[in-house]
Amino acid sequence: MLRAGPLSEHSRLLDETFVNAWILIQDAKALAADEDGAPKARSIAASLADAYLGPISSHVVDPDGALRSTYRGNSFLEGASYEAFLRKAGE
Amino acid sequence: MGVGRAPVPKMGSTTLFLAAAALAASASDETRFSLAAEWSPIARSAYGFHLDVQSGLGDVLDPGPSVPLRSYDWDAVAPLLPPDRAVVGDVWEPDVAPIVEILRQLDPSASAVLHHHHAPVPSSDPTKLPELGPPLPSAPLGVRATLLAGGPIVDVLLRAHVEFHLEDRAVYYTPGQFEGRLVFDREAQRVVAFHLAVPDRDSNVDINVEEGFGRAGMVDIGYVPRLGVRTKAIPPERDPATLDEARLRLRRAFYAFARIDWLPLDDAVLESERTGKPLHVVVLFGTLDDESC
Repeated sequence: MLRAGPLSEHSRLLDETFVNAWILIQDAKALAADEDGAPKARSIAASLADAYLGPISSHVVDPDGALRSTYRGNSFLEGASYEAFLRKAGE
Repeated sequence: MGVGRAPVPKMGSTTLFLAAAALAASASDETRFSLAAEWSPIARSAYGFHLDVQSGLGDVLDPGPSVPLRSYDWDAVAPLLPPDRAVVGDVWEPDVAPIVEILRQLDPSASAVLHHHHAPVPSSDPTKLPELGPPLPSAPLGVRATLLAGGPIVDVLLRAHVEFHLEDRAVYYTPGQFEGRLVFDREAQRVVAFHLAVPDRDSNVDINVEEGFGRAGMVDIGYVPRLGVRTKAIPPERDPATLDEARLRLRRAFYAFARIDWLPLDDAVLESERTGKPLHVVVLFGTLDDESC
């Protein structure tokens, strides 16, 4: 639902305001544990793995690597606005 | 088909019949091709449905191919061909029916009706599963194709969304996608090489158990190493970057969100640092840009 809904509807906002990535939770955990990985990417991957709310969640991370906001994917089904999440987190 | 086009020499009736039959068989053989099917067991899944021997679910999820080897005529793939004036990079939407028919070699329940993109219509009979209604708006259904190479030998990359309705729809087995290559000689109407398979990546299949097995409403996601059909001949190798660009064209043909410039996380971290833009990261337990999650 997130794909056909908010990710598609707000693709312009996403491209203009953010740098976008997606990652499997198992890959985030692997990257966090990879001693050969770039330290900042590892640190962010660890934060994402800690903040993950399955089966799908979205996160906004500051350019300095600090986790700013998290959106639980299933909350979309409960009416939580993805656009509001993006606009608030993108401020 | 080329069967009716072979010149028939003037001879006596018996000889004529035998010669015509031989020519027809020869022409037919040239336009026919065989596909071997493979459906390996699920190697890993989040909740281990494939290991559930007690309820029988493990067996349901490991059916093996219905027809291990099947012969096809040119007509089986002719509807997938590019439009006459297509150029390399063009994307088109062929009829999905020929793809479904080919994938019925794997299991007769192959269907282009993906359950999660169709609103359920409750049955008046409480013992029956809901029917699947019309597709939801913008549902990423069917097949898309893009031209990799033209000329005498044409090379097409295909992406199809097809699932299996096992046990009369009690179990939906939904691969993330089928990706294929169709390489053919247009003039001779001959398939040079063909394959259509679920990409070998973990995870690549979604499982929904609707009822039965005491697991109503349960969902699992897993990895099936081999699921598809192929000719003995393999398609020619292509530059990986060319194939990646073609795959992106097909993704974008299915999904509006694929127009977003998605980067691998490592690259995105560097880009965020360079531009000062915050990162927006989607974390999930199945692939974002296919049907396995």
